[in-house]
Order: sequence, then C-alpha cells, then structure tokens
Amino acid sequence: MKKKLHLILLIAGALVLAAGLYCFASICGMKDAVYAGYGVSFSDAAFQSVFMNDHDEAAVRADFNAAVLSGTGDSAAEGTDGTEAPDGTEAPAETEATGAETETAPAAAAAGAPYDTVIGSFSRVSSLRTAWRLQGIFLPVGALLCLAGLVLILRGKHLDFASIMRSKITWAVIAEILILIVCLIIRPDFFSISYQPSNHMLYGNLIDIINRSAEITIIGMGMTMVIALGGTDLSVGALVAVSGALALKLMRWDPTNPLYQTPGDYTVYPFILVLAVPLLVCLLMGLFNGMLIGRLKLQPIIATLILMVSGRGIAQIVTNGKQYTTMYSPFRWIGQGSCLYLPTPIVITVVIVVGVMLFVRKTAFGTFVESVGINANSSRLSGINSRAIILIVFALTGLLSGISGLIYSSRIMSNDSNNAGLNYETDAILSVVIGGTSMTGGKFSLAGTVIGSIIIRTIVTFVYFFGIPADATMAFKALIIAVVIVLQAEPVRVWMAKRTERRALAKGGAMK
Amino acid sequence: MPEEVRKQTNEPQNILEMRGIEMQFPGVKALDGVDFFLRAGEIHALLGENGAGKSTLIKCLTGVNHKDAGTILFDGKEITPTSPQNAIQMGIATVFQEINLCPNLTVAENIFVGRKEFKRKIINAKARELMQRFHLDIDVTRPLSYYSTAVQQMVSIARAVNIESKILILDEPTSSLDENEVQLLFAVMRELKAAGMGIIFITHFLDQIYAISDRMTILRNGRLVGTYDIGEINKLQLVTLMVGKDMENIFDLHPVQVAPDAPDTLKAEHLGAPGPVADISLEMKKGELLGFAGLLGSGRTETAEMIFGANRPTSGKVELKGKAVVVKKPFDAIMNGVAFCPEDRKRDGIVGDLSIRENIMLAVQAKRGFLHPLSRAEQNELADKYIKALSIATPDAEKKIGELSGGNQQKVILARWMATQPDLLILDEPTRGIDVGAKAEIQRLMLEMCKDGVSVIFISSEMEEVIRCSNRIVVMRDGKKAAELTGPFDSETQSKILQIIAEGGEAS
Repeated sequence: MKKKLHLILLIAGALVLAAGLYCFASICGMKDAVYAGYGVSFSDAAFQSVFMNDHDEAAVRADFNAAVLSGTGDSAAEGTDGTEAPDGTEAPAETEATGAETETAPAAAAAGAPYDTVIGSFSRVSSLRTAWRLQGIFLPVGALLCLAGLVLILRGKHLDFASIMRSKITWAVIAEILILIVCLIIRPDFFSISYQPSNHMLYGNLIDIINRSAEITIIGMGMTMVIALGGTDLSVGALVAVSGALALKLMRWDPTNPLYQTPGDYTVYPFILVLAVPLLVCLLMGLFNGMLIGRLKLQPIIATLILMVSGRGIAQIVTNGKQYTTMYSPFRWIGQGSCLYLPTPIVITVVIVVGVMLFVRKTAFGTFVESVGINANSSRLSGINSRAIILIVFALTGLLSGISGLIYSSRIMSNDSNNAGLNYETDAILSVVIGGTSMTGGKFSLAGTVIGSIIIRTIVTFVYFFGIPADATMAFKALIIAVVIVLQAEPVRVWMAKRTERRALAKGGAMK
Repeated sequence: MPEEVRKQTNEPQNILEMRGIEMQFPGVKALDGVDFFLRAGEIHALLGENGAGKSTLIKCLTGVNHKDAGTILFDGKEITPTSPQNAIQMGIATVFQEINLCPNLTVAENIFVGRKEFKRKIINAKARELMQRFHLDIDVTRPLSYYSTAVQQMVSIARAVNIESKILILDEPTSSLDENEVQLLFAVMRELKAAGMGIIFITHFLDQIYAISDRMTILRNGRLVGTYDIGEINKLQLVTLMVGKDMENIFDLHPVQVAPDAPDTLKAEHLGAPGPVADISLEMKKGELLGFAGLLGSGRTETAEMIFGANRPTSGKVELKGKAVVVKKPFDAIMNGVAFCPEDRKRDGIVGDLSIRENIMLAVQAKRGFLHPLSRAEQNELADKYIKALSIATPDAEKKIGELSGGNQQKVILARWMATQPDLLILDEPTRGIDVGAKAEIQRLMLEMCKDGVSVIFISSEMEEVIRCSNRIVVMRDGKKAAELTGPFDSETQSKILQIIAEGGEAS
C-alpha cells in the first residue's frame, strides 16, 4: 500500500484542486454575471461585506441589491484593496460601463432584483459562502498534496515515519500549518484567493505571504550555503540598500542636466544598465567578502561586518544622500507587476530557488560545500579547492542580495539607504536556522530555508492582519519563533520520533 | 592453552566486582553475563576486538549506559552509577580516547574547572606540582591547544587523577602518543598503582599490555573469554583468544616481488622544509612498498605531506613517473596520481556527517571538478564496489561515516583513494587505533594494490607491520633519513632499526 501512496496523494491532490477551482470559478461566475447584467464590477471587498457577515438571507439579499444597484461594489474595490487605481486603459471602459448602467439598471430592476437574477441562478447564499471559504482551503491543500506526491515519486523512497519526525523541516512545516490553522479559525476566509482583472493578478493572503517573503527567500538561498560553510554573512542587508541606490541613481541622475528633477515614467540610462550595474556591484562586494574569508582567513562574521557597516554609507555616497523616486513602469513591474497571473517577485523567487537548487544538487557543488563546512582539513586533503568554494558562495550571496534589493526598491519605487534591507541579515539567518540547517555548518537544506522564510512572513502577516498593536509586533514574532525553535530542538524531535517508533511497534505487535 | 572460560575468584583485595553483567541493544546482545574483577593496586588490561563489548562494559561502569542485569560491587557495596558525573563522585575516573578538554582554556584551568578551587594563583601552583609529578615541565598558564596531543592526553589524565578516585579507566590512552610519551605515561601509571589505585587499561597495542599490565581480561562478541595473569599466555595465544581464529593465518603476509627493471614512480631529491625535515631523497619503483620507520615527530609525516603538497617544501624537487612536477597543493598531487591517507583520521580524513558514498566519491569528484558530477548511479556503483571489495561493515552506503568503527572508517578513506586509481599511495599510520582483524585486512589490501602496480609508502609506528610488508625501509631520525634498509628482512631487522633510531645514522 505504501508504494501506491504517491499515486493516492496525486489523485487526491488533483481532486481537491479541482474542487477548489470549481468554487473559484463559481464565484468568478457570479461576479461576471453582476458585471454583465448591471455593468458593476463587484469586488472582493464588497463580496466580503455582503456575504461574510453573519446575516440571514433576507439581510444579505437587501445588502446585495443595494450594493449592486448603487454601484458600491466598484467604490469598495478602490477603497480597500490598497493597490493602485485601475490603469488608464481600464478607466474608459469603466466609465462606459457605468454609463450603460443608467440604461440597464431600470431594465434589470424590472426583471427582478439583482439577488434573484444572479444568485438565484447559481445557488443559495449559504453555498456561495461555503464556496468562498472552501476555495481558499482547497486550492492550497490540493497543491500541497500534489507536491507531496511529486516529491515522493522523485525521491522514490518509501516512507519512514520515525525519520520524518526526526527531520527539522517536518517541524517547520508543522509550525507553519499550525499558524495558518489559527488564522483560519479566526478568519474563515483567510485562505481565499481571488482574481483582480485590472492587474492580471491573483490576490489573497497566501499569495501576499509568498510575495512579501521573496526578498528573504532569495537572500536565504545564498545564506544557507554561507551557513553550511560554517559562517554567516552580515552584509546582505547593506547590499540590498546599495543595489537600490545604484538602480535609482541610474534611472534618475542625469549628469548633463543636473536640474532635471521631476520623477516620471522615464529612465536616464538604459534599463539593462539599471539592472546590470547594481547586480554586478553586489557580486563584486560578495567577492570581496569571499576574498577576505577564503584568502585572508578572516572569520566570516568579522569580514562581512565591514560591508555591513560601510554598505549603507556607500549607498548614501552613491545617491549623494538623496532619496530619489521614480515612476518608470518597467522598473515597477519587478516588484509590483504580474507575471503568469502571479506577482512578479514570486516568479523571480521560484526561478532563483529552482536555479540554485539545480546548480547545487545537480553538480557536486552542494556536496563540496557540505564537505568543507564539516571538515575543511579533510576536504583540502581530498583535493577540494575550498577557497574557490568560499569565493563562489559569498559572491552568489552578494548577487542574490542585489536581486533582492531591486525587488525591494521597486516595491517602494524609491531608494532608502537607511531602511532598505534593514534586519534582513537576521531574518535570513533565522529562516536558514528554522529550515533545519545547523549554524555549525555541514548539511544544509534549501527547501527548508524557503519554508523558514515563509514562516517568518506568515507571522508578520498574521500580526498585521489581526491588528495586533505595532508595539507588540516584535515581541509576538519572537514568541512564535521561540516556539518553532523549541519544537525543532534535538531532544524534542528525538522524543517525538521515539514516540512514533513505539506506537509503530505497538501497532506491529498488535497485528501479530 | 586454556580451553574453557576462566572465571575469576572472589578475593578480599578486589576493589571492584562486576558479575553477570548483561546489556541488550536493539537487535544485539552487547554483553552476555560478563564478570570482571579489579584488585586495588593493579593494572588490569581489558582486551577484545572492536565490538567485543569492552566499551559497553566500561560505559555500564561509568553510568553512560544502564545494565540490564548483573551486579556491580565497588568497595564491597553494591552501586548503580546513573551518570558519568555520578560515577566520578563515587571515585571512578575515566580518560577517554578522545580528549574531552577545552582547548582554549589554560592547562591549569582545564585541570581545575568545575572544582572548588578557582583562584588563579593556587590552581596554577597546584597544576604545576601535578604536572611535575607526571615529569612534564610545561607552562600551565598556556592554553591547552598550544601543546601536542600527547601533553593534552597527560593533562586529561592529570585531571582524572586529581579527582579523589579509586579506579582509573584509561580507554586507548596511548593511541596518539609516541614511544617516549608512552613511557612517561607508564611511569605515572606505575606510581598510581603503587598508591593503591585500580587501573583498567584498554589498548590495541599488545606490546604495551605486556609491558605494564598485571592481569588481563579478554572479551569476544560480548562474552567473557577469560582472565589471565600476564605471564600465563603469550602474545600469539592472546591474539588467538581475542580473534577466535588462528593468528598465524591472519598475518601470513609477505612483501610483493618488484621487477628490477620496473619504472620509477617517484623520485624526490633533497626535499626539505626548515624545522621538521632537513633533506631527504627518495626513489620508488612501480609496485614497490616503502616502509617508513621512526619515532613520532622524526619527520615521517612531514615528508609524506611534502610529497602530497599538504605542506610546501622550501627546497628540492619531485619527479612523478619520470616527469618533474610542481606540487603546490593536494589537488596538484591528486591530478598526478598521488593519494594520501593522513595520520589523524578524524581531523584530516573523514568528513563525519557525510555518508559513506559521499566520502568515497569525494576525491574522484574533486579530481573531476564540481561541474562534472558523477551521476547518482555512478556514485552508488562506486560505493557498492568498494564496500564489497574492502568488506566495509555497514548496512548500506548511506550511513554516516562518523557512525562507523575506526577500522571501517579507515577502509572508507582507503576506498576514497583507491577510487582515484593512484600510482602512488601514501598511508600515514593507517592501522592506528583499529583492531587486529582490521589491521590485517588493511595490510592485505596494501599488498594487493602493490601487486596491481601501485607504489605504496607505508608509515607506521608498529615496527612489525613495517617489516612484514615492506620491500625497503627508510628509517627516519630527527628530520633526516638515518638509514635505508633493503629486504628481505629477518628477525634481526627490528633490533637493527631500533638501534639506528636510538644511536643515529648508520647506513646498512
């Protein structure tokens, strides 16, 4: 039976995913029907305020009719989503639609209230409400099940529960799921995902968590290997600032026309340079770290302290202490645009994570990093060029910090030498540790780091979402992280693994 | 030769009586009704191959493991040690093979850490006095890491002895000591013995057992074989009892014949680095086994490291297979077909947290560069091949190398280098700290490689091994080549080598 587990997981995952998509589609269908019938785009926020408050059906009917006929659906969309208003291309279409509304509305009213024509043709309010809740649960759970099935197929190992319970990653995943379950209990629609046609993007708390964790995840890929080598890189946050400062300077600073000050949808230097120069500089700064550590044998924490301290100064010098802003739209796309219906940072992160994983695991690079991290002497005597390994790892971390810096500055469309990448080094180190890589070096897990980074972001989202006072945010974050780390402590994991083993033994005995 | 199990008798001067000790590990009975008796004021050797149950017995006594059955009488009272700390409080002190001290504390601090005394002046004075008792004139205010392994070992013994203890357990204390240091340790042991302390001495060196012990107890596969007075059985009988097989057959090894016209593999001229090695020239033919004899620190290891590029020589040149090469780092040597098993397996050999498979493929992969990885299938094939060829005792190739016994770790390191298909293999103390059976296996492997045309440099402190396997022997003394002896060797050779080591240069 165990052998077929991956197939069962895959099929179950596909079914759950399909159910989620059905729910998603039925909600979209309802919204489309409102739009087609009444020319009002009915936003998520409006949907939520109408359906998710525990009204009885009569109250919901009245709210829905009022919302559609007064067109508040639209205004609610602008008010609460917090994103930019629909672009120029969208706006005329909207006015046309509202123009048409004046004609169609009376006709629709004559045909019956919107609630009866739209909702009545789908299902009753309770099932729509359920669909809204379920799609958010079905989609991620289905995707997770499919992923688990795929992993099992790729790994080809049969399941050994004791060793799974011993793994740190398992505990990180359990912690993440627990936090999400708490979210779900407090807000049943926490997981809901919806589509925003104006940005061609999916919205929802889950999407937002992954989106916002992009910077740390990207840096974490490099930091994981730095830590596997037995070191730490404190300079990543400062490099984020340097990268942003350079990008903004290249877009805004025109030596031939020093008076030209207005920000706008333009760039002074070609966009390719805006991207390449910050990345190159960060790569060189990473190489500088690597040289200090590999060649001069400085302790990594000391060596990277140099750039940690001086990096923000360099960023200030680059921009002459100015804070530039820009409205250049290709640059906006990096941090705020959409790609494949997802926020661009998510796509960039996926590409980088997969790329680094392939580089590390499909070549012998990962093994060499682990070997040098565990026993540098033995590695050297086995012919491994540890200096080159150190150089590559630190240069890569620098480059990844640069990418992260571009995403960050694109989100704020500005450079901020003091706050860009602030505390990123601690967050990156934390996500590596939560992901199960030991600070003493050696075996490392990139997948674990991704989970660690998502956990950190989940906590932050959780805190914002539930309106916990800002003063208490850090304390609350610390509390959850402390729990996660205790769960991962060696004695706890061994104890749980032994429990599982004993249970398995007891079961085996009972069967005999 | 005694046939049946020899039980010890109940004697009044017994300070420790362990009876019918049983210990069950998952799937294996580690100890099966073992009796062990220790008198006050004796040195009692505890013998057996790896896995015979010596360590488990000691761990039962020191509270690391908890026995399943049996009784322990200490000073006439029954005890059940619950933890090492508890055992120490009762007066049972242990010095383990691995040094469990803090390298960044001073010698004095290391000895007195965790005691009532903490005033720097007092502990320094006391520590100095203690070390003088050990005939060691060292500066106790320097950090421990400043001193050699041997001194560190002495310090850990001093620490153990300083605790008011009645029993001292020495687990492989001599495996990293040279001959002089061993004598020093023995002197201390005799003093402690005269003071009435009971000493349990575990070692793989049979000579040392005969040099110092009063009695010995032999274990095999978790069972007691017997307890004997030292004069009662000879070395051959002892090994036969330990292994359970005939000693003669295990060590029936002979040097491989080298064709006189075989090409040169290595030609080193006037290699030197200030300090450890003055000036050494070597020549080796294909398929030859060159033994290195000499004391620890005589320049044996340093010479090997210079050839391999682990240390750079300041003068001299090296030719490999008739071609002059510049070896700046180990990688260069590996690319030229040189392989090197270092002396300190734990520090320089194994990569503890990696699997056997990864440890075996490491050098081959380094040779290829990380951008040309061996596929997983190739790695598995490589690992399985050597696990089988070298009969490495492991359930599968994915076990961490750190979890293997010393002998098996050594075999994995050997496999790592055999996989690179070297022309010259340098083995620095490959048989240290591993049991008799594994020693014989490693020597056999060495000779088989010679037969396949690999030249081997074999460095060992155990003279018998070197004489048994080598075609030629280089005797090192004070960083110089004191003599070079050409085989075949006879029973006189050993005393000849000893004489050269003791008295200096005398060419044969």
